[in-house]
Amino acid sequence: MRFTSTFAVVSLSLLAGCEVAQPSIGCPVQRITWAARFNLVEGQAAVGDCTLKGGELLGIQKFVPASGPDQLVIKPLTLAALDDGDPEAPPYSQGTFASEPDADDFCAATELTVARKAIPEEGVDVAYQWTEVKILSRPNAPGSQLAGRVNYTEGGCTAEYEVWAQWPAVFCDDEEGNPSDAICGEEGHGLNLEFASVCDPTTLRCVPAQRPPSFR
Amino acid sequence: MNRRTPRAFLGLIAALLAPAAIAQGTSVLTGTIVDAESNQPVPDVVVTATSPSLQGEQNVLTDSAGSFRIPQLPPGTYVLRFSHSDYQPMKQPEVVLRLDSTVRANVKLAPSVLREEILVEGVTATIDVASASTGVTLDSDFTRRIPVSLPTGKGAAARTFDSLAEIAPGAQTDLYGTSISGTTSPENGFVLDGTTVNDPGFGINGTSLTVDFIDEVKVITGGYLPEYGRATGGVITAVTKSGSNEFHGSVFGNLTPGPLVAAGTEIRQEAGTVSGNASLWNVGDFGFELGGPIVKDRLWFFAGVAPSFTRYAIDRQLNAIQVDGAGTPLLDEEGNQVTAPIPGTAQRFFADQRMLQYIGKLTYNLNADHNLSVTVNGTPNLSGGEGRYAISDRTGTPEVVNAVGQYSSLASSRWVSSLDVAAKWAGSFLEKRLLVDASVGYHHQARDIRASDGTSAGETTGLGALPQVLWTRTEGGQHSIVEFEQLPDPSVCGVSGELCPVLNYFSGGPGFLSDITMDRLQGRGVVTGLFSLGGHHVFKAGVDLEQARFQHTKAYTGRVIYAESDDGTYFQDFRQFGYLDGPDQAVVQQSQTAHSVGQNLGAFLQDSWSVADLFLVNAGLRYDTQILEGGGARALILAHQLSPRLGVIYDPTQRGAAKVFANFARYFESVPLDIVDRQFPGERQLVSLKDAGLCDPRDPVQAATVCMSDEARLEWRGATDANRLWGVTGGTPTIVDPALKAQSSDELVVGGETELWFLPAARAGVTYTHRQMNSVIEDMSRDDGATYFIGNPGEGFATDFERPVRDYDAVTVYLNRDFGNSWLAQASYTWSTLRGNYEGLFRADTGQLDPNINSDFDLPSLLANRTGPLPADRAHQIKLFAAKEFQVAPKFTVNLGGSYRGVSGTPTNYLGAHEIYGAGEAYLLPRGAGERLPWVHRVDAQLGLNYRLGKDQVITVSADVFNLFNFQAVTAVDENYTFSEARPIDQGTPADLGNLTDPSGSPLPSSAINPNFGRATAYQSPRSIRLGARITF
Repeated sequence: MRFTSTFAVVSLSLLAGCEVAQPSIGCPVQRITWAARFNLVEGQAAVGDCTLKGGELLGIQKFVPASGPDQLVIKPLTLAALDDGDPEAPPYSQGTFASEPDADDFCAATELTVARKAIPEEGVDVAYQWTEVKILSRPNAPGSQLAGRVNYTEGGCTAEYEVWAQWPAVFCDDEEGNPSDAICGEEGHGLNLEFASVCDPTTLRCVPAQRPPSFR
Repeated sequence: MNRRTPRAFLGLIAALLAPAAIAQGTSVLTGTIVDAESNQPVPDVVVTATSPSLQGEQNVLTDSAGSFRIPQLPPGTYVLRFSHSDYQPMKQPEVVLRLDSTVRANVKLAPSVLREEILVEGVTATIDVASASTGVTLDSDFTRRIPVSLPTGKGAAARTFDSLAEIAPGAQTDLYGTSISGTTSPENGFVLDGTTVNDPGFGINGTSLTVDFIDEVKVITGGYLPEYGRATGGVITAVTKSGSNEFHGSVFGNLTPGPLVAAGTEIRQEAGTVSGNASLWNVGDFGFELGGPIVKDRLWFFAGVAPSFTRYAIDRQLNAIQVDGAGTPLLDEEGNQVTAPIPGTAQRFFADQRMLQYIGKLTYNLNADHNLSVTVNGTPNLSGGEGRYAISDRTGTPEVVNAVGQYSSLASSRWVSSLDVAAKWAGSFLEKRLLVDASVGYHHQARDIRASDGTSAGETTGLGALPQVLWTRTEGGQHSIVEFEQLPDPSVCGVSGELCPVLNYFSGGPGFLSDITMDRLQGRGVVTGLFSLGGHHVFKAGVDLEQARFQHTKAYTGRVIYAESDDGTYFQDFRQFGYLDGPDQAVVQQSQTAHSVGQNLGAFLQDSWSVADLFLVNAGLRYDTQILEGGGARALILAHQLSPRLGVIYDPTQRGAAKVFANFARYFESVPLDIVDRQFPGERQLVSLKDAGLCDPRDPVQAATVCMSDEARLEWRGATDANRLWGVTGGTPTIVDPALKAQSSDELVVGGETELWFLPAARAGVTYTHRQMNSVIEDMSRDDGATYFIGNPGEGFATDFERPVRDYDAVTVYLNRDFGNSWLAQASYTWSTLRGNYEGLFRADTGQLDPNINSDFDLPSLLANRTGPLPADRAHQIKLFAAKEFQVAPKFTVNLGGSYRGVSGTPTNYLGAHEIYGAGEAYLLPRGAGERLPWVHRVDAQLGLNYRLGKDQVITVSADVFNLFNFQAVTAVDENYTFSEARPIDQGTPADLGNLTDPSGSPLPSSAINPNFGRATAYQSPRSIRLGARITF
């Protein structure tokens, strides 16, 4: 009898102390190619090419090193294209990435390095300085929406953008090659249909319709 | 007629009569005693049960309603005695009690002073009146007289207890065990001496103990009570033998010699350069079992040892393409290239397995009400290595049939073992009105898959340092065998070896090695109370705790498996453990070790309420919570599973001679730990490509040096990837749907069973079973396999996935006649249908055994056309078993036993390649659109000669013939309509196959259709003969 009641006590106490929610999903980041929309922060005069950025593909990856904090790496396609002219400088920004989301379900990347490629003989000098980068971590959006700011330099011109990006980078051009928001809401290309997405006309990829979290 | 003797006095008598009234099992004898003259119940009758399988005897008194109940009995043949000072004594012999059953013995007692001549009778039923479950109970009378345990397949050599499950009506053998009620074998619960012995990692049976150490096996196919949980298939529960007051045992040996195996049907297919064939060489076992008293009526022992062995011959032959004078390959009438064996290249290998089985058991009778037993059993086995191939411990088949590769790359040595320790205590209080059963159990399994030279996972010596290479070049000509193997005369392969091409050839080390240890500790306590309230109640409450641990070291020999590219210009790291510290900062790992833990907390309440011996209501509720942890962090939790069970049994005879019953039950799955091992955290892997011009992995030195250097690595990553050389796969944390529900199924069983007036000791019945799935746990991906999440398809945030369906309906009619008067018989016919898109915990077509993370529901695009008759769907199953012993001379008997199994064929499919998942994964037409396979008939027979040396000493010589008539029905066909990627035709028929297109919409060329489609790939096992000898004493 005592044996049995001990079992019961053990069982009940285990259950009482038992959190029945599924575990936190942590800070996943879907890899690799994301589609981003660059929104010029208001109040800046149109002074050059640097303010004309519409959309861009970003390579986003998380690294989990054996020691030290997790790392986030952002590699814009613009810099990748300059690798041949400037093979030494890394085409990406790298910074520390949170391991658990904050109260708003965002995982923050901090201290991102400036990524700069320069080819002086061609008069090329492009730099990305990222701040306030955060990636949404929810079961229905597990590391597939990003919001952040970037200080973008092109030539001698610098502009401040708010960037909204999502994964995967899905094409949204219709049969005539025109952007179609409707395609971003269709099944079959791997994009979460709960996302509020629009078609970015510069890249012809689906991008968040609003600042993430961007849901319908 | 109220002549009562003081109760206290009778109680004293009972106590004196019963120096050793004890409790050793889970079976129950019950009944009602009435006055033969007045038909009034008789209270205070002393009911005494004795049996050779019972220590001492058991005594109870009837209550005011004349009812008695003797619980906690082991299975066996009993004698019941009834005595009361006012009545003539009465004896009821030959009461057969099966494992875990309740049998009714109703008796009329004649008064001491008879007023008139009346008929005094006692009737013992054979029907389990307390249960609405379906299934079959098998003892050694059955297993020794009927040929059981086919000598091929899982558990063949050891003749394991779980192999008996297929005898149950409606059950059928599947790849990893027995499918019950349309489920898959890992869904079954395996219980040995009250301890769960399921493999903690994969759900299949984890203890392959021989039937020679087993007293009885009960196969519950449905309608089980709340005390059984954590299984969505059937429950296979076995009790090991115990000692008795006399020394009894046997020495036995069995051998199935290969030369007595009939030739099977040759499978026609285009012979490649390497052809192979596996044939049974021999399989057998020998051993002894012995039980007896250490202290009479106090302490009994049982012990046994049985080594067993299996050997297959693996014949390998090299062949060369035959050409005409112009050098053009010759074709046969079916368009296949003609090949001829190359002289001097025939090789014979053996696949070997050796197993030892042992058991030791002590049964101790503490006092009149308390009993303790401790059992230790184990099944260590060793297979393969040192020039031999291994035999899979999971399927019982050789690991290789057609050895397209070097021995070192294909062979393994397997060290597999299980160990169980079970301790049980059964106690009774308050004149057996309060019973306590408690048990603790420990189940241990080890499964070490090593290289053939004995190198274990993670070791860097010997073959552990040698990467495996898969040669898959197709463009510019396949490789030739002469590049890998020395031929006596290489010229038969042509000038450059082109007449001996090899595709998918393996060289180097064995690749993946795995070292698993699993442990499960469990405790269980059940309190049973008997009371009266509007009838008799048997109330049970129990708790049931388990903790399972799964430690798995995984490694690739030489740290990597290379796969050659189609054009042969590079080698890809097909498998390689490792991770990136930062862009291109690779850390390649020798091995990874995963630690997974599962906790099960369960409790149940059940009440069996018997009203006037007419109705019995079994109502109960089971509660379970399962918590899974991987790598020290919680992986997932399946909380608050509530399984209601309700059964109603009506006994129109009121004496246990017939019953009509209905039972509803909900069953929850206990998720095996494989899902945690694979996904929490995931296996982190790295991929790079090596320039074939710089790296030739055929050379072990290059394989370990230049092939592992950046010098040979190609830049291949996409523009947006910060890495240039390295890609990563897996290792992303698996996301769990916060609304995840535990996996469960619902079952309804209705039926009736009756004794037969014309056939004593026989019972016949009919049952109808319906089963359906509720929520199912699977892994899914919305991004074509880049990331996966765990959820319930069709529910939670996976509503865009099809809901898993598995609907099973079956009607069974049966007749069972236990052994008695030298014969026994069982007959059943089952009609069933199994429809849906969910097979269960493994995939029949690919053999994938990854419970809850099989590939079926991985992508929405895989699910097209998947609904239809499932692989285990068989409309008709007929099973007949019979045995009779003939007295030929005073000391000489002959046993004739036989069985017939007739099953209708399973469905077949039209399969194509899926864009991402490859060959065989796209259902081009709805599931089951192919022609059904034919009926499979099998007749087995046993001839046994018994010579009686003394009262209890018998020498038996026997021959079991399996597939007596060597029927050769087709049991599998090639279902790959094409190996090319093709779009499923929604709701299509074979007439639409002309319209097949590839994923881009272009018509599929007729050359893409597999010429072997529909051809047989497997036939029934040919006739084999098992010779046996046994001395029983």
